[in-house]
Amino acid sequence: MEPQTLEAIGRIFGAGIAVGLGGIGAGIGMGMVAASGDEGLMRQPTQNNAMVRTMLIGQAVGGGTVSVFPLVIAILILFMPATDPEMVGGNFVATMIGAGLAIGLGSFGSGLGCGWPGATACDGVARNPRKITPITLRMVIGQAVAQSPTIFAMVIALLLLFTQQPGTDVVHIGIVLGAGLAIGAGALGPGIGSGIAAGGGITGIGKWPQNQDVTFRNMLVAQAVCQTPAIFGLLVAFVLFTRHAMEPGWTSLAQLLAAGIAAGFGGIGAGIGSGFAGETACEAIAARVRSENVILRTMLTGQAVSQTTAVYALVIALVVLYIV
Amino acid sequence: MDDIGERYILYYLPGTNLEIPMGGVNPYTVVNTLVVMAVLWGLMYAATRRLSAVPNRGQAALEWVVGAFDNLVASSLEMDREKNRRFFPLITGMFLFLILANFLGFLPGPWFEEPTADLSTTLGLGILGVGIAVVCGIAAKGIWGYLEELLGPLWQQPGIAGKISALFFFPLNVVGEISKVLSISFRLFGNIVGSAVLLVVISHLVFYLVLPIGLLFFFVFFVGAIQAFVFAMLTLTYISVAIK
Amino acid sequence: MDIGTISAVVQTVMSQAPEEAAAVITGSELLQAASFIGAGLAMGFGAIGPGIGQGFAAGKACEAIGRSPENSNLLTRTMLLGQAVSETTGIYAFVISLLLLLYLA
Repeated sequence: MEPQTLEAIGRIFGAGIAVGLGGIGAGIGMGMVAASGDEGLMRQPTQNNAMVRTMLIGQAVGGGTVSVFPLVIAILILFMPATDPEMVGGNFVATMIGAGLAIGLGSFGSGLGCGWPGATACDGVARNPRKITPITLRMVIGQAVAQSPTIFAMVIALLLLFTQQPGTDVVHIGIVLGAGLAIGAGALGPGIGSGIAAGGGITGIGKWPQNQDVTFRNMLVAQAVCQTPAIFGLLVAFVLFTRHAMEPGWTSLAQLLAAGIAAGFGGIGAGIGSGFAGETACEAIAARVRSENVILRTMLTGQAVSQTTAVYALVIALVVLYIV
Repeated sequence: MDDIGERYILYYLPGTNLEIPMGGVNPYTVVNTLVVMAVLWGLMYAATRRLSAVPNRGQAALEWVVGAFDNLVASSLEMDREKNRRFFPLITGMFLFLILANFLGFLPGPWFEEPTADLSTTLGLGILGVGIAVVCGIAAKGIWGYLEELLGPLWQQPGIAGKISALFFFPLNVVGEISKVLSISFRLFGNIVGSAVLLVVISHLVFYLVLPIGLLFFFVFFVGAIQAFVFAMLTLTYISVAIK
Repeated sequence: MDIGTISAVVQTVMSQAPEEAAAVITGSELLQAASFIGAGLAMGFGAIGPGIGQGFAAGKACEAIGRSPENSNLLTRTMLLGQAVSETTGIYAFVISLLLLLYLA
């Protein structure tokens, strides 16, 4: 097969994975916001303007912003000139697919997660239309925090595209695919989880607006703790970039891929689980501010325990890379 | 577009095939950190130079920030005012430094980089914050109390099962303390670097027309402010959990 | 894309490998590579379930403590017990991965 054909195949696959996977989450998330907005409109037909405004802001900041990231990466994948003449054939294909996996899977999670705060904000505005400003403001901030995992995924995708990893053998393929999987799948769960946690916080603010400051502070903490697995994925992706001196061969390829799969997919459950813990904790804190401290401690303990499996996965990834 | 690699990736990533000058010390970070400190000091000096009972605009703004953070620290730590005031300067100073550092990305010119886009800065601040939390925890509960905390919540239960559970909880809690440092610093670093690189890439793609200005405001002012607040809040939460 | 094209792509990718590695891939090497990938898959996918399950437990515990803060010690203990039980499958995955990595490979 000619190199040009192979290059084109790589670009097409990478861009397809990026936009295809990245669009699913944002689509579902925007749909959740719209459904909740319609329901609110049904309950409060006179508050047409407030409901539509909340819904549109929720959709634009949530799904809209998140789906811009894979779009940008897909355009780069399609049209960026191949800068390194050494990087031809299978290595180029692998780099493009790795970048596509990173941003595609990574923005899947945040797009889906941003649906929760949007939907609960619509609920809250339907319940109490005069509180539209504080609810919408905190919803936007919650959605922006839930987008951090996608930004991590984008850092790795851009690194894959702009800095050529040395080497032209299968080790290179393992590094780029492993890094893409580690941060892509690793950002999926935390994206959803920190969205769910923000949803709980916004529910609490909608129901008990008098406690909004305390609820908001705890919501940010809950969201931030949810993102630890994504940071493990980022760490493993950086570590993979340093492993280009492994001896060439299929065993090394398997090692690099296994590290990426373990660290990436191992973070999904931990991210989503911490999100559920954060959701109910934020609602409970909003309902009873006086027990804030004991609930916060329980939430942090629960989240830490549900992240043990992500720690195991990180250990396995490092064992695969360094000890075996 | 090659300058993206030159500017943002050169210094921050060990293991890429780029050569790192000056042994990995980023001169931009050092100089820009000093710039941020000078600007912060200058702002504080200007706002507090002529204090009066009827505050002028600068004094009023500063009083609002200080009052808001005083309440925040007080409601999170729930101690008497004097004890809260021990932690209040740390949290407020951290927030003001980080927010100004993140806003530095707004200035034009290749010399102004956010110091927070260097992992050295964020890792240093993360170690500082978590270290202070650990030291305060030891000071509040004694060294044995702190170790008991690490041994897990079932340690004090009667019977052998609680003692065995420590085998599970102790490594978990130690890893948890380390991952606190990693997560708090990588979060800030990743967000700021990601926003900066995204801005450069999108600007190239749309030929510097209109869109980048909106994105610049979104990423620099909105994301930068939120991440600075999240950093300060997490440090405060770590301290408040450690001392109770 | 038909099978022929896919196999052509695969062949071209394989031909990128250094010749000695591509030419002599022995049975033990294949076994080793397979056990690495297997360990990664086991830990990666095995970690999903326990994480979500423990998160549910923690969420319900927070809700219950919000309702009756005076029982927080009992509730925390129950939460940790439930989480420890749902951790079991994660530990199985961890053990299997370590077995695959350290003994079979």
